Amino acid sequence: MTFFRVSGLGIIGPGISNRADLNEFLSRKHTGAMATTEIGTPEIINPRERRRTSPTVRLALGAASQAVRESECTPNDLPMVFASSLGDGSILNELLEVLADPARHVSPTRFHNSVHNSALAYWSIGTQNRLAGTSLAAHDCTFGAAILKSIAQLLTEQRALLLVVYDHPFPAPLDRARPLLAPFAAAFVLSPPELGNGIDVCLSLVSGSASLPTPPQLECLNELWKWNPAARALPFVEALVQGWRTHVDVMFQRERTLRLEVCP
Amino acid sequence: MDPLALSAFTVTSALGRGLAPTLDALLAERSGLRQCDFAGLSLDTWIGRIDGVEDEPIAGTLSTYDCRNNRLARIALRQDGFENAVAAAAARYGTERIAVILGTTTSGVLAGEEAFANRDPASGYLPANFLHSGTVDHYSLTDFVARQLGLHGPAFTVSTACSSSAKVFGDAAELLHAGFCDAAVVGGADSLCKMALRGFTSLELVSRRPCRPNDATRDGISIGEAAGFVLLERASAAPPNAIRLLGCGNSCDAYHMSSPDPDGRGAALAIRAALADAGISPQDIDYVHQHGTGTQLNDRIEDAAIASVISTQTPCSSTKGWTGHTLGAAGVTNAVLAALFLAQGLLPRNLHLDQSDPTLQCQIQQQTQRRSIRYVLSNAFGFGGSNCCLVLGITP
Repeated sequence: MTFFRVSGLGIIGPGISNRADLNEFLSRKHTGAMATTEIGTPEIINPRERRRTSPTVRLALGAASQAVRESECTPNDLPMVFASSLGDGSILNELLEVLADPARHVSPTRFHNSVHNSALAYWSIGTQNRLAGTSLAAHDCTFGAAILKSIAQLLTEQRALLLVVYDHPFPAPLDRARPLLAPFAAAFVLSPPELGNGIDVCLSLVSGSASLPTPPQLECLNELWKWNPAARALPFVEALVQGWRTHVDVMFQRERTLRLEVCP
Repeated sequence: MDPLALSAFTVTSALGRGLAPTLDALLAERSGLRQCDFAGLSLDTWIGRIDGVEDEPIAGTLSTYDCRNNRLARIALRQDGFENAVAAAAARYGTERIAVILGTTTSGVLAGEEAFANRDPASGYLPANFLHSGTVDHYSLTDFVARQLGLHGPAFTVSTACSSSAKVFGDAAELLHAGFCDAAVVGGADSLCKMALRGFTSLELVSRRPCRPNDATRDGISIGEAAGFVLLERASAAPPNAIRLLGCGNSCDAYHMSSPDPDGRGAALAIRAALADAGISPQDIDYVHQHGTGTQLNDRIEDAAIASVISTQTPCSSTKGWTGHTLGAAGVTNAVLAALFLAQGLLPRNLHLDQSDPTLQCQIQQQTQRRSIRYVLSNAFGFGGSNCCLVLGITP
């Protein structure tokens, strides 16, 4: 049993630009078709860099900006954990198309932006944050693994941190090999329980074979939750937005779940 | 941090499979680099390729993970009694209590390159037998290794460019500290692919000759491939003379996507953080195993950072002249070699150092020396300004 506190929250998904949108969806039990995800341009990216940043990076940085603003922490005072199953899938897709032709020129900018840690790098540059930062992936269990890593770091360092989980679908032809349906990102400022304001959460690892992960309350986002690894964070985000006492089970490993008990 | 023991460790690179051939090559001063003969690429460069990977496919229940990167991982797992050591740890702790945290930059992207070369001309679809999750996906490596070893603890891939497989050591220390596991398999693998070879060529970071870290005439990297693994446990669970992980320091440059901070501030921050985490002072470091890639800028910045935080008198060297730059596997390759140096009492020379650079301030090892050493700093720096330094030690 491990306690931590969520002191800032950000969310970007289909028809959802922030936590207020999600709250509105939840309160009127929104149904109907999944809307498109609007990805804005977060202010953290300076105008010179804007042309160079991809939708994936803007998606991650948009959610991160919301969470940090809500927490009232200084952006460069928070160590960073970025997590994404695909990283920047559109750049990978484009590079693989270029590499299939020996005559085509590989763009050096595309190549250096193809690293999995590009969103982390643009955030650290944009916020002038020189603290520890990492970028991790665990397929469909990316959110569960990332929360485990973040809480382990929190307990070790006894200091608040920023967790950002984001995934943007591949374009064709890679989309058929790994479909993600729509872009989704969630971000959290996580603190040790005695520091900062926010909602307390208790984390525990479930031993033995997994209990079923908790699906989202919004049924219209059920398919997204299944297919987009970042959207596996959605049931936890819903619970935080509602602020009710509840628990959410999340896969952190192909056969195992962890439990997040929200204790407002 | 709470010290952790390296209960087992191994590395496979262009120097050979496992520790014994690696040590042989180091002592015989035999570089693993050769002129590029990979995948029919006509690039005027040298590479650190591992022989025979093409001939050892992964068959059977894990055949959906078959790709060059996972083949390399499996070759490495089979060296130096590593699989047996993990099985013994699993018997002690249970398979749920051993984490698997591995670094890679490109995972099995070569399989994606092959799939894109064989698209259906009419539909543009990739071949039906292309499996993204077992190959190109970043998690493929970690998932494959966890399954191969039969482990069920927390498992994730770290992908922070060339510091990836150094950061995993710090992640393991945190998971142990939090009580989420009792042991961890850490390390990583990166394998040759067109993406890395043509990508680094486009950035004009590749040398046409074998790379020459710290040399006045250095002009770029030689790309290599490697897989390395370490089994970490609490130091109390291991013999007193085991090599220990004592500290891990991370930082970001917050400067540029592909160029390091020219003042080396990020690198210096990571070195300081590693020393603080280990609870030792700069003069305790007996040897610095440099990241030392062989570009003009990288080596100059690392030199400045070491000079400012450690000293200009501490012996330093880069081993990239032997292995090439193994990118996502560079962190663990450096760490495992550092463990070997501690165990052997070895300070390796900096290979291909023919003309010393008068602008560098640090003490670069001109010759290999044998003497006992107690603390080693092992560096890894990557794109996006991602820095990670480790302190390893031995109780004499």
